[in-house]
Amino acid sequence: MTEYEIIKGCLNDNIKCQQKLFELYAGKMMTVCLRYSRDQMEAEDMLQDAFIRVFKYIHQFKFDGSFEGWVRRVVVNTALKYVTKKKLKFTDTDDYNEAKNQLQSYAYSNLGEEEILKLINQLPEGYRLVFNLNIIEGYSHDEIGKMLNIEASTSRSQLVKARKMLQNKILNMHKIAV
Amino acid sequence: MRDNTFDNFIKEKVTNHASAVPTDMWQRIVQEKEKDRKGAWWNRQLLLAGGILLMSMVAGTYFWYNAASTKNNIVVHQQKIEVKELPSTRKKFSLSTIQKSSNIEELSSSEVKTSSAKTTEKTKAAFIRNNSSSKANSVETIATHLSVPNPLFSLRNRLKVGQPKGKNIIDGEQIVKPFMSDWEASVNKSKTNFLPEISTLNRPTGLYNLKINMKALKISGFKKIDCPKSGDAQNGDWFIEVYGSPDLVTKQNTLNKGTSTRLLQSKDSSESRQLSFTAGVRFSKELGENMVFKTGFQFTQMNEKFTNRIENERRLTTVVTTRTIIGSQGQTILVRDTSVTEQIGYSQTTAFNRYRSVDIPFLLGYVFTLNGWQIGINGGPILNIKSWQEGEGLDANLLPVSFAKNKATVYKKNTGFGLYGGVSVIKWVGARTSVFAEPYIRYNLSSLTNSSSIVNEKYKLSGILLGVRYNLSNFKATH
Repeated sequence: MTEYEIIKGCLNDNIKCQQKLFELYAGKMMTVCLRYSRDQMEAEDMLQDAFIRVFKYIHQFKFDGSFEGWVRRVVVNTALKYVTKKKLKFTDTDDYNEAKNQLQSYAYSNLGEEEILKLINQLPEGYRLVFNLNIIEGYSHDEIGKMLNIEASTSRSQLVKARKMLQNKILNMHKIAV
Repeated sequence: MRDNTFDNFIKEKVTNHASAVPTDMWQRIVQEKEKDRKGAWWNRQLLLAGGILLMSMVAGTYFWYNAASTKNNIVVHQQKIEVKELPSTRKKFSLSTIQKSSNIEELSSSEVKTSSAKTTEKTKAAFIRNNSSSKANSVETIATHLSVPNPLFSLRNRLKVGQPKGKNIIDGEQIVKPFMSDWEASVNKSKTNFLPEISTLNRPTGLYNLKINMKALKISGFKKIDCPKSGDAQNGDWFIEVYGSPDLVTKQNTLNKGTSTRLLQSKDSSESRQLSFTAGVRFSKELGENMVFKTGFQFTQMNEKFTNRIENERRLTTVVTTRTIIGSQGQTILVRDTSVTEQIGYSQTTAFNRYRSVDIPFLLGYVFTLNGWQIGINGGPILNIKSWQEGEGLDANLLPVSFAKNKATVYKKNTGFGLYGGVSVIKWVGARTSVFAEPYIRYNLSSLTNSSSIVNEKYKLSGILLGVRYNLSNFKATH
């Protein structure tokens, strides 16, 4: 069954097609949810809500772009709804001071996906959100500002700090390994 | 290191990574979708019920106004006095037809026919009941159709006619002669003065005014007719209704602020609704022929069974054994052995939750009669004045916690407004007493729980009110 047929089936509320769609994207979308959530349980709730929304609003997909991209946007928006319900605080921490040392590519080239995800999840919430939205999802700072109801400049500064903190964490991990 | 390289590396690694998804995730999604569908179905039903209620209220109001306007419509069909320039000995006059009609009951109907002879001295009058034909050339008709409202409502509004009912044929000579003589006198006095005096009859202001006008005309022959004041026609009876109802409760739990769906699922599975009840007293006041306003107090108790099972419950039991032994030198030694036993099992909590409330209904009803039964369609808001709860429920950690009345809990002390709709069937069992059954549905607009609570709890009640109704008005009613 092609992606087009699956979407058409979902448009007709065909449960088998919906299940196919779920099986096709559930793993990737679970990763998205895990990046935004605090724990596994919250990520599962996000994923569940997100897929219900995907099935509910699938008629809004206009077949003029990547379907996976559209599903991802729905998942991210659902995750943001969860996240923004908690009052977000975009604060600065001093952990990144040591990241002045240059991080060589060999320090992170061997990192696996799970390790990277774990490191991202260790970032403070504000850093993590901006990092995810900008670096991974590709939203601009203006868009992030609107989504999170913050200034674009705040988003920029949070990203710089998030990146440095992440590099710092990788560096520390590398030092321990050595 | 350039930031872009690092960013691209992270993006590449993370974007297409797939994580493990719980095996039951698809089942959970399907279940949630079903719930959404059921919720949407209920919402549609609720909208439909609301629409029907609204339409019935609009229709009721329309019929009420129509009925009220018909009842008060004292129509002066024709009211003219013709004074022709006839020879002084020949005057032809006609009095008008004054008719009051109603859709319910005609108490009396009489026609007064007078025929004018060629001379003013001769006046023939005949009171003939119900459309007797006239042989006279000039006919004046005073037809008075008096009516009372629906006997199911106020008999207070019955018009008191001085003449006993049924005695319609009256000796016309007694009535018309003085009338005619006065009439003649007035006509003779002055044409110009006469006309304005008569013209007061043209005001369609009701039978009450007509009586005054008749007095003005000095129609002394007519017996006194006591008409109700215009406001009295609207005043209906007061009833007191005492009722009770077995209720079925439907409670809908929804998530609040980032709460886990697992909590919702646990809550749904741990709570089961039990038979509940409502009891109350309310007063109803008739407004016109078909409309009724009802208000009073009612007490509702919703019952629920709470059962929660916690797996892997561990219980530590410490056992101290004391014994006395005799030592080698003959001394007595007290020995205490302490052992600890750990039991692994589950603990089950069972509680009966009570959600109680006192409310004031404000209901408007439309009542009509069908095959000897009185049917009423009632609807309106219902205001909660106090709510209190006791029992047990789950907290955010899925552990049972108790909520007792008079303590600050997650539940509101006042749940605000709800909507009520019902259809009542009333059967008279005596002159003043009737019994009724009223299937109803009640929907509470706001949640039982506070906004800070982890779960929103809304409920719907459906039941059948069974009660007795007693007419509190003073007059003797017949139904």
